[in-house]
Amino acid sequence: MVNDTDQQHASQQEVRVAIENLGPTDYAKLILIARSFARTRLQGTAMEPTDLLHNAVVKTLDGRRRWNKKVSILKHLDRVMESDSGHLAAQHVTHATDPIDDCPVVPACQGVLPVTRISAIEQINDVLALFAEDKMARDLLVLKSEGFLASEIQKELGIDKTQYETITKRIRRRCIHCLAGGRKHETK
Amino acid sequence: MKPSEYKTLKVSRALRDIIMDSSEQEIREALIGSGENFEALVAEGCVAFQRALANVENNEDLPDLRRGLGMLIQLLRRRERLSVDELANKARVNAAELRRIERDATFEPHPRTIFQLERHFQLPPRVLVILSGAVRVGNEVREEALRFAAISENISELSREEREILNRFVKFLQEHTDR
Repeated sequence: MVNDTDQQHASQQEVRVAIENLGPTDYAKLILIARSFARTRLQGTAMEPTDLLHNAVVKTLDGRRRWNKKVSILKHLDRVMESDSGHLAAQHVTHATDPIDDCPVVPACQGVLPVTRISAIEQINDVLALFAEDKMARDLLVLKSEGFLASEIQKELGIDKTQYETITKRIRRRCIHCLAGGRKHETK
Repeated sequence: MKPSEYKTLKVSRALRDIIMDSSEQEIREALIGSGENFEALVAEGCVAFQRALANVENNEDLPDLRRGLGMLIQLLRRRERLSVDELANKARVNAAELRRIERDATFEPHPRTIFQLERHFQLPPRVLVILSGAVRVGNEVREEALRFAAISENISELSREEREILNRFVKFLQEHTDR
């Protein structure tokens, strides 16, 4: 019997087609995102951003991470990397105090997974430092993170569409610029 | 998760959503002055995807290949008279991962680790990459890897004998000096 959840999940064939249809811009976006996780969560582990992305794609292709078609394949891969890097960071913290050095194995879990406290603190410092002197950008990000639509954010912040796009552009530029080359975020 | 951590997670996602919604032109503009270019990012991402696709296609042969990989790395390490920890230190890889590669044919090694090991042992490029299952290979490679793993298991037995001889000699010396 096929239920709703099964119908939402892509078949192996659909996954394969979606992944093969990704283009150069998608690759660039995903590697930037992988770098953001590498900077905050993979320090001290053997993982590189490329490994993180590679694993996310493999797990999606072989069905260990099922793709819910309600979200884009890009967002799915983002969430798998978020989840895997969270696990790796947690295991790395555990291993630092655990003399038994079996290799960390990333469990094949489904859905959104917790972030370790350490990585969360690093992220707070990171994101806040990145927009420390740009209150409007920070406010826009916070509202966006709460699920506000663009029109609602504009109303909330008292800005028009052009201003909204300008601030978003500023956020994008700052973020991508800092992730390029894997460098630490600037604080100014 | 604490409320503050959850909030941070959401902000981080919002930030990543902005990246995901970007056009090629917007990414190119954002990269100006960063020391990175769009093509380099694409190439890096492309490597991850190509390896993943090859990896999945090659899936049925992986345990055979990786058995050969594990045995090859173990022999190379022993040839240099290194422990797992020492090799990990020298090759700058994770010791726990190295143990898994040597012992567990189902373990998927990280591409970086394979690269580092190839470099450390000064092997021709892609020798270990092939055995790691990161690229598509024919049946002959799989069969050869299996054969190699089988032969090398015998070498391991011989080494145990050698170790016993060594242990006996050490014991003899110890007893001799105790007299």
